[in-house]
Amino acid sequence: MQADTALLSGVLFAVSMWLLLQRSFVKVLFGFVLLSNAANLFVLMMSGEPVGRSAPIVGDPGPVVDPLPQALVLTAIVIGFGVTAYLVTLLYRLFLDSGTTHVDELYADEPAEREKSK
Amino acid sequence: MTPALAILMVVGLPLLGALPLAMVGRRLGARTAWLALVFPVVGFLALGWLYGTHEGPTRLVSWPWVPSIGLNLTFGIDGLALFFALIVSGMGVLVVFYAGFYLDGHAAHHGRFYAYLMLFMAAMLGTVLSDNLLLLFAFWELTGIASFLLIGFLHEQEGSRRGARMALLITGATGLAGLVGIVLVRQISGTYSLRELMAAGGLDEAPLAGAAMTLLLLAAFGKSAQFPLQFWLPNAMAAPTPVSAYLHSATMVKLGVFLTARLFPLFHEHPYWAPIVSSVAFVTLVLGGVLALLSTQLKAILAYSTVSQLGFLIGYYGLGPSEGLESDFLHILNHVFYKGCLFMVVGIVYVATHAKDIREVGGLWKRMPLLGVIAGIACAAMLGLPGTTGFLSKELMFKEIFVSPRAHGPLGVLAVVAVVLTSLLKVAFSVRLFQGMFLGKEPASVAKHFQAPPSWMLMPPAVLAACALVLGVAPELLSGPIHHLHVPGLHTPTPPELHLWHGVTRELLASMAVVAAGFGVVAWGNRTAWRWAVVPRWLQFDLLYDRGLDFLGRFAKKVTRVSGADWPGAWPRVPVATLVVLVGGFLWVRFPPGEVLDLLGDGLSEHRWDGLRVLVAALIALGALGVVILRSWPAQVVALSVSGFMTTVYFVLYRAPDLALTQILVETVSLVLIVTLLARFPRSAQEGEDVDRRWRFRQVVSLVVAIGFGIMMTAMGLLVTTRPHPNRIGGWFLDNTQPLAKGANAVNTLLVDFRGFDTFGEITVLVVAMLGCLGLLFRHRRTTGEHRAGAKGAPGLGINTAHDAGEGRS
Amino acid sequence: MNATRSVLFEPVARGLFFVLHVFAVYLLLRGHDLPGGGFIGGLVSAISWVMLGLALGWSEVGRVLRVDPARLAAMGLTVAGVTGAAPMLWGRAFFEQFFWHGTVPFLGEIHLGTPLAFDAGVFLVVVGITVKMIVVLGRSTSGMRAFPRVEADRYFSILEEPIEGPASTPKEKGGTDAG
Repeated sequence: MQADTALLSGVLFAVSMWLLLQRSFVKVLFGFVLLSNAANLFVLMMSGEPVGRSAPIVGDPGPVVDPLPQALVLTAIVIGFGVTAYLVTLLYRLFLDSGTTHVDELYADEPAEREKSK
Repeated sequence: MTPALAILMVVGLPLLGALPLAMVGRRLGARTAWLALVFPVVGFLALGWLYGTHEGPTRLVSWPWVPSIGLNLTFGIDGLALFFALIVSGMGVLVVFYAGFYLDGHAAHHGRFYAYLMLFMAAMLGTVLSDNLLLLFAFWELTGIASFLLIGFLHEQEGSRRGARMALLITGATGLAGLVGIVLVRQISGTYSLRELMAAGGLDEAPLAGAAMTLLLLAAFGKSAQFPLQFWLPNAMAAPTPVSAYLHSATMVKLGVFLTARLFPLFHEHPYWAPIVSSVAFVTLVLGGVLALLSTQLKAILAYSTVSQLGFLIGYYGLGPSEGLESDFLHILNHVFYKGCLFMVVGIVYVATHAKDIREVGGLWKRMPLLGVIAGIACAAMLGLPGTTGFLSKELMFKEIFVSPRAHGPLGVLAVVAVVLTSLLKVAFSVRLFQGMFLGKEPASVAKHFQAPPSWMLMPPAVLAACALVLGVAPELLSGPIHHLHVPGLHTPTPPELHLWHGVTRELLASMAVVAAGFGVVAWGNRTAWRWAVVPRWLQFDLLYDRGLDFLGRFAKKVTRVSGADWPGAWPRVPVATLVVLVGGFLWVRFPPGEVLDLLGDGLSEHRWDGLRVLVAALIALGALGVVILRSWPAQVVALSVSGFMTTVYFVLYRAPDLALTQILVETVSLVLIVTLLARFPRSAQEGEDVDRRWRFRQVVSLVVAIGFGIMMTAMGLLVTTRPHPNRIGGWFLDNTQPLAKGANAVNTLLVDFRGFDTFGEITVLVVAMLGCLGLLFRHRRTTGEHRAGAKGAPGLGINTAHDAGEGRS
Repeated sequence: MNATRSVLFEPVARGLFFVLHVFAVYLLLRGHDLPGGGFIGGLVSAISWVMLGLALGWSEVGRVLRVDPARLAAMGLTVAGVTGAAPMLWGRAFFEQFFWHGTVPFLGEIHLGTPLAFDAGVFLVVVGITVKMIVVLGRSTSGMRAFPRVEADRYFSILEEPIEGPASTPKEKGGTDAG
């Protein structure tokens, strides 16, 4: 049973979702980083309590969790880094182009257009 | 020579040769045609050898491709396959030769053109020769793609693009229906092999036979432009004329006929076979004839007459008697002769006069008498004058159709009416086509622009016209080959003897009456100057197609707008809320909340309280909350990092050393990246973050959605971990990491050995992400207008029509 | 951005750079049997480069590294792909691995396999992309002009106006005053 991990990943999911729903793109970036952490923990939690069988790693006889989720999460962490880097660059580009990181300012003149088209 | 070598020469050579052709095309220019000519000639010779050694349905070769799903490169021949393959490669020789002159003056990208043409030819030959139904489907769709490329060859013109998209959409979508039909056939019969299916006989009794038959017929109807999908063929006429002559008269559109013929032995005793096939086909027959008479564009006349004739060829199978058919090959061959020839003639007329409309040409007899003779023979074959194959075809057509009312009742009566009416129309538009081009007064524009075509260009249509004439006068020559290509199950065991003169029969009398009436229509048309010959709006089915596409685009836009997905400030809320409501609602119903709460309570109480783990978890949660609560960017970054680094410790506690190492390193690099980014922003940007601190309704919604999402994930985690899977795959990797991968670290052997290809994909993704970053950073600024246009663009999926683009956004 | 150089940070970074690199290669080599491998080794190496850049300036990274990190990544991808595809030349399965076990004078027993080559490819990709992205973002403080001419030519798109071009849209309100 990993009730504490479930609770922790729940908190992380809630916080990251809140940040993703914000209107500042910097917050969205932070939310994304937290979301990938939360997802990684979630997958690792699924692999079960670390009381499984011993891995044949020389010199570390302690129990090790299922290697498959570990390999998946390792991949996810690195890919998450790639996406974070891309988001950072995107944000920088956005700021260079429009001088703001806030949705409301970025689309300040949009609502009028939106109303018109309705 | 072996069968395998022959198949490689017929299908493999043009398939592989397409790419080199495209590459040398730039250097060779118009001379690429002579190089491309090698492929159909070699294919034709190889097929000739196969014809010579043909003794009945045989499987030639089988190479494994994807054996696990039953997809193998299995090729086989029988009479039908050989017949179509000979037509395809034989027409290929003529068309490439013709295209060498047609494209000479006014075209670029010769390499590309011949590469597409060879790709198409290989796909066609593959379709007709494949024995495996899945392989047949693969080649079938490849012909559609090649046809898309060829129709859109003049892609600078809107008409070409529209025609190409239309053809791809219709033939591709119906082809997919065919795929479902193929899978159903496999479910019914247990095999994909055509030869085995033919040997086993009819599938009419099986429970899903009706569905399989309907789906496969849909594919055939789409490809052969049957009602109500006939509109793509006239629009495909935007292609260069050699393409029209090859794809849209002689070969590709005949694939539907081919497939119907293939299905005939399997399904013809099904109660719906005759009604479906013949009702669709005979409606197409009449509609095509009427539209051909009403059209004024030269190629449109030919296109609609092709539609009409395809309707007949397919309907012929629909009413086929159960003991087999007699003269389907003759009908197909006749159509290939005269329609291929007429398309080439129209192309020559275009080269000579730049006229595309029948009202813009005339009096060409004086300038090009030889072409006039060729066109005269072809038109005679089309309307069925004695001495041409058309006459034989029409005689047999009447003979077979006149007995159908007895066998099929009202359906047969419909067929008789349709065939007689269309024969009349055919006489009328054949005569009109010929007199429009070659007789009458020469318009001034023709006199001004006339340019004599190269005389070699007349050779391919002359060959076709000669075939129509010689075989029409001496039809006995055809009996041998038709007998040789006889297909058991499809044809009658003893094919009839063909003769020029069958005596005075009711068919001959009917034929004479029809010809006389047709000339009457022409005479009336000439008196009224063909003023009534305009295609009415309600018969232009492509308008309906446009509306449909347009509607789809609008519908998508509407959904997007309603869900708020086009509004950057709001878009994530709708999908996430939907997710929470659907998944969370399911969990709520399936596992009552009380149960989940009990799980949580039990889990927390009986847990061996590991103080360190709880502390770390608390720190991670605190860090995450800090990102929300803290106001300044530096403080938020610090909180984020605390959370991240503490996750590392959590991984250590989970005994995942590789994860911990990766996490700490990635966290470090991400921190550097984010700090570097934030250092670029001025202080004013951070202040801009806090413009709106009041609690609005949307903030409340966001909060509810976020908390709901967290609760849902917690509940899912609890539910999953309390039901551990008894048979985890991880144990296998732990057991086998030493013996198979020669490494002790199972995580690493998973990454580089067991799942090495996944890792390869992953590092590819990383490189792509880097290229994306470079693209973003080194991109130049867009203007405001471009920014506006790019962010939203026109409604629809990029498949909107000119009609829609004109209206603009709405 | 490198106006104030730290007396302490610089030599430490230089020293650590070599230590970290030895460690990174060590992690790569032992990856098959102990925690480590191409991803982890590559990240350690990347971090040492980033540290060098932070201490001595980004141009120093370019001077020491000599090749464009993007090419390093491309090279790594090629190495990994070739390792995977090579067995097919001999009719073996895609991504089949081979090992060699033997004794070498002075080094003792040695165990080598194609997974190591694949992992080395992963290592190169991770180093390449990480260094490239951080260097590019770090250098772009002073706008695109901070890049060498060749690099700018390689990546610039020719279709749109330059960023550093004439003043931007009127709706931009005093956001770009600092950097």
